[in-house]
Amino acid sequence: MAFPTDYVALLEKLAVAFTRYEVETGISPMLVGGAATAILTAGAFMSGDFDIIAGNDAAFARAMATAGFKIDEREGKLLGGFYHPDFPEYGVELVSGPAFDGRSDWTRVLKPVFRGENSLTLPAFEDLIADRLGQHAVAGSGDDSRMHQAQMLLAMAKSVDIDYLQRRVNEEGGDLGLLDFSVLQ
Amino acid sequence: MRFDFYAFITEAEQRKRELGLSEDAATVEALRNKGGTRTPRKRAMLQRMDQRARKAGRKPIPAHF
Repeated sequence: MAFPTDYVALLEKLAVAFTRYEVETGISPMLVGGAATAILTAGAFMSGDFDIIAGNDAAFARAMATAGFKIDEREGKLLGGFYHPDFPEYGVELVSGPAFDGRSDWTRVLKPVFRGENSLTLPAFEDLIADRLGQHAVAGSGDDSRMHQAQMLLAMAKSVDIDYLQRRVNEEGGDLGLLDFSVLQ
Repeated sequence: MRFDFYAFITEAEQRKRELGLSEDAATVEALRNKGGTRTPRKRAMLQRMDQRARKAGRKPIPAHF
């Protein structure tokens, strides 16, 4: 499944907001969860809701407004989310942080650059794999989606820092034994 | 680590082909969150996204909520 054109266009808008936020605050927001997984697996599945961690809500709202995003509200009630009027099928939500309870190594973050200027910030493959396995551990029976996502991320990673991955999976409460590492060969 | 998004996607697509990773409907569905552990807030958000898409005549992004 390739990314739809409008999905990439939305990511470019989001990168504008991320960069604006980073200029104002000195630190980038981080895109986490299913949307980050969808990006790093090149659209192996689609996730239309974007979970973002940013420590300064007001600065983030200003950055999003700069990129054309609107506040998601209903009947005058603020709902803590955003959407872009050109891409109404997607939504953005701020998640309380810090990312991974502060246990991830920020120097490992991934920053895909759009059109040579603006960038998003995504977790390292290891952190996202650990997060997915941790989510799998608490998912109800019959939902192995996060385990499959972790496996797909591993395949896309090409290589991982196994010691760091093991540590992070343990911290997130996941089971590294669920992964097939033969995809790295 | 900074990298070009478009080059990354091209390389990732190539890697999927090399590994023979399926992208059929069943595989895509297996990767999709079944929604059992979603918060009420997240369910409401997904519902609003669905409604906005339909109102605009766009196809909603598939999601379980």
